[in-house]
Amino acid sequence: MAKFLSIFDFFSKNRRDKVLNDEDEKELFVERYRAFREILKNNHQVLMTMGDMQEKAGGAYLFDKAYIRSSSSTLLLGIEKIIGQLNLLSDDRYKGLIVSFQKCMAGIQNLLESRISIPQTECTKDLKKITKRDIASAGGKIANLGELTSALDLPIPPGFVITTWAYKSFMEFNQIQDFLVDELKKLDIRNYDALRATTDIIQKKILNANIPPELKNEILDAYRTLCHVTGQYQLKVAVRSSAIHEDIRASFAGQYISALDVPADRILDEYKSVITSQFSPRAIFYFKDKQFNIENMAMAVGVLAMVDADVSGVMYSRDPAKPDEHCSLINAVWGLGEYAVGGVVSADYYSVLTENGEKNISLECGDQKVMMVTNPEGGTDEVEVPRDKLGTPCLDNDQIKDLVVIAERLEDHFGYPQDIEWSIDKKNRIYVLQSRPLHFASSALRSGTKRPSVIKGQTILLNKGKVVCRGVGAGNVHIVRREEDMANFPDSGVLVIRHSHPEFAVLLKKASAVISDVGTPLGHLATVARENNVPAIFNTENATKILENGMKVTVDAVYANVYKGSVDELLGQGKKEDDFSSSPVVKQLREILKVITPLNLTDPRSPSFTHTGCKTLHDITRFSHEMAMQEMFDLTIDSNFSERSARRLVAEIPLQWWVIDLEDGIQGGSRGKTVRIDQIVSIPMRALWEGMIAIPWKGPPPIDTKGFLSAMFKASSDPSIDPAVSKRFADRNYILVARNFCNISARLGFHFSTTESFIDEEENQNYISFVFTGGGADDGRKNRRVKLISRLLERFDFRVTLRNDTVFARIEGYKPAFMKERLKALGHIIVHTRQMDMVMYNDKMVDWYYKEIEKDILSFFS
Amino acid sequence: MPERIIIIDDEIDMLMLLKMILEDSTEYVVETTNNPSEGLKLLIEKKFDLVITDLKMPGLDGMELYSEINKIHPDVPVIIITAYGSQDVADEAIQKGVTDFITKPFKKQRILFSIKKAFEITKLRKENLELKGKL
Repeated sequence: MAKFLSIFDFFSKNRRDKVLNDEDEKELFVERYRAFREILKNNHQVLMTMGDMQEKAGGAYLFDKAYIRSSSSTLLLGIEKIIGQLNLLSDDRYKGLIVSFQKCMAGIQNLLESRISIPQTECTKDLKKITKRDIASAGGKIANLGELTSALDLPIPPGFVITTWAYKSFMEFNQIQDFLVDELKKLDIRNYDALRATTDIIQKKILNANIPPELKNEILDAYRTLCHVTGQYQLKVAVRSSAIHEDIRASFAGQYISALDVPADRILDEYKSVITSQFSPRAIFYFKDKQFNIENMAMAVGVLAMVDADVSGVMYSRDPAKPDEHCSLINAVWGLGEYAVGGVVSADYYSVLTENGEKNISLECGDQKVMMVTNPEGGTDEVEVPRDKLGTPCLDNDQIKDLVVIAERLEDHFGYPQDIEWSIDKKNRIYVLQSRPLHFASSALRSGTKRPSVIKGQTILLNKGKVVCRGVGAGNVHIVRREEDMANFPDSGVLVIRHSHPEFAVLLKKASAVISDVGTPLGHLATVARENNVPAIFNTENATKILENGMKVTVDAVYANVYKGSVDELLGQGKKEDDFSSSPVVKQLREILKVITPLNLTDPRSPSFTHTGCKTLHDITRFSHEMAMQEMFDLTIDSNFSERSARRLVAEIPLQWWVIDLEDGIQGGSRGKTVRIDQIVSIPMRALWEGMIAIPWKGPPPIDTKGFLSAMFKASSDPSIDPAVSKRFADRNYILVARNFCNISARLGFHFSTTESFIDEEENQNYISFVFTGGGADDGRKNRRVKLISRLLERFDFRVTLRNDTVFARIEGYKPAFMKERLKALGHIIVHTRQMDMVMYNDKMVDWYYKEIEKDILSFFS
Repeated sequence: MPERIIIIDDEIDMLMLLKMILEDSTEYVVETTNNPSEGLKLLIEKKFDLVITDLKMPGLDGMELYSEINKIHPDVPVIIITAYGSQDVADEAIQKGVTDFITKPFKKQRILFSIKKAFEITKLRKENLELKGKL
């Protein structure tokens, strides 16, 4: 909107440096109009592709990397075209967008190739200083463990991580990286013998390699510090792998070795063994098959104080078979947890159902004969379960309850059910050894999709609309009609809006659901709703009328129903149906979408609404679309057409109005000196015109249809009205038409207005822009008329901004029928508010005229 | 006896997902391989009731694989999955006798429906042959 203000500069100066002859001017304009139309077309395609990718990332579809690659290419190609066309439209004003585009493209390519850069850090780092953001340096497993202590203060074994930077130093010191690249290049992974032989060579080379002296010292220093912290000078440790690549962790869970009960003199060797374990034939096959970058194989290694476990096990914060119930599952064995994880022995099985704050425990006691324990000399041994423990449950009720409390905290923190490894030492202290998202079997989640479409016994407030982002959300209604309403939007409120304007995107971080009266599932706000996973229903028609501020509602954005109050039956379902979310390709697509769909440029009036502010592809699209419309708008004002390139408009009398046909806007071609109004086939121009003549103007001075047209257009040809206006604008008025486009700049007496519109079948491309300023009366009267116009435009769904006595209005993204009606309303408003400033002597007049004009417009609305 | 299905796809992720779907939603016995030649070998060694294969794979593509399977087990239905699907390729495949042709991305229900349909067709064919035999 800020840029609209600049149009008034045109009244006093000519921005264009080039002096073009008439035909050139027209040709240039036609060329630019084509670029503009292409931008709208590509913008639509780009938003469709983004919507499709978001849908596929929802977890309900099966696809492979080829889909991600081809969709990303389509998207990048579309945006590249948009940038090219925008620069054509604007004399290369937005060349800088290419930099933002290239950054996004590089980000996507890196993710497609799953390239990860290793951050330069210390070679070792205390676990307490690690958070989940440190995956690239500490690997996924250890970063998660660090998060448990740094963010949740949960008991985990003290320890440190040997970072991926240390790995890089080690590999470089021994020149293994180059060796790896060479070996892998010549390897045919489908030849298993060759694969086995190559991995053997690589593994031997790593095991025989030397750890650089500085790294060696740093690891041993960190170990000594750990001994000091724990007060044990012969502390034994667990040395655990922590890979950085999500795919690897998902596909190779349990493949990498962990060394247990390691004494001081074995730590460095075990470090090398753990690193070596990732060069197994299976891992190499996977890496080569996926064409991963070699840097992705970087591995961090955790060194954790060994827990002298009395009991260990695995716990699910939620029963995968009953995800709707608050039921946790615990598997427990005597001794170290490796036997519980590996399923070697018959473990105890506890199911803990939490109902009304009560924990009901049911137990299936296992039949564990042997257990794994630490060996005083280092390493582990399998021994028989002592007699006094044979056949007795591993956990008592207090321990079970304590474990479940930990599971609930972890699920709350990560926002997803967790799969947790734990141990209890001989002093009855619980330690969490690992927590990761629990992967549900798809059958477990099927219940979410089979529920009835309508929940019986609940009051439905709304049952119309288009689901834009699937899910269920609840909260208090907060209707946002104008900017001021945005400021006090409550946390977890249900955002209710008339239109799906992208400006509301900032509220989606707080909203629990979004409902709009009208809106497009392919618009910017819809994309942001899906990006933030906010359940959304658009096109409900009358949500802003039926719902009231503060009302508690439950939004079922699966079956497009809005219920009164909180419907627990729905809220227990979780946000989304989610079948394949844990698959590596879905995860990769979601990662890539982080570079594509977030929208940072929500408000065109913000100082950050610039090409340098574009951080994602969505930002670039939004910015380009906005700028294209403004450039087109400016261009029409800035153009200097002559009679030779234009044809005079003839209604019932010749008018001081010249028409320029950009493309198929006039029936019968563009020959001749005049053009009749009925020859104009431009869809938006016809709609505007219909509104202008629908009801004869009754206001002062009293004039019939013919007379009003004449007066209206004659007034525009009087150059003496305002000496501040540059001559070319005062000279004549132009209507630029194409089949789907019109731009009409008019000086009507003492005021100036510009209307521009594009209407096509694809709603995403459609818009109407309107600017109105000036007037001959005193400020009070002028302002009242501005108020009247603004109120009327808002009444008919325009977004209105006022600056002094200038009205800026915009509406976009709706179906052709809706847009045409709004143009008719606008045509009526333009005609019926002219010269009205003269009679606006008090506020009551505003109200009176508002009602009259509203009534008239509604009379010709369908 | 539950039906036995073999899935052949060079994309390990797809293999894992398809296997997961079938095992979660059905009683079918599922075997997988990411190597088409190995798939062919398995088809010679063991009996399968249905083949699901990717179209584009290194070495032997889905259509070539189909021709080979057709030589060994002309009665075994074959479903081809592809990311590169065009209507022309799909039409050609169906004309050659491929039971169904599915384009990625697709929903779980799509593949389950396709498998069900394939087994029903096989059953009908068998019944038809039996009736003809009796006649």
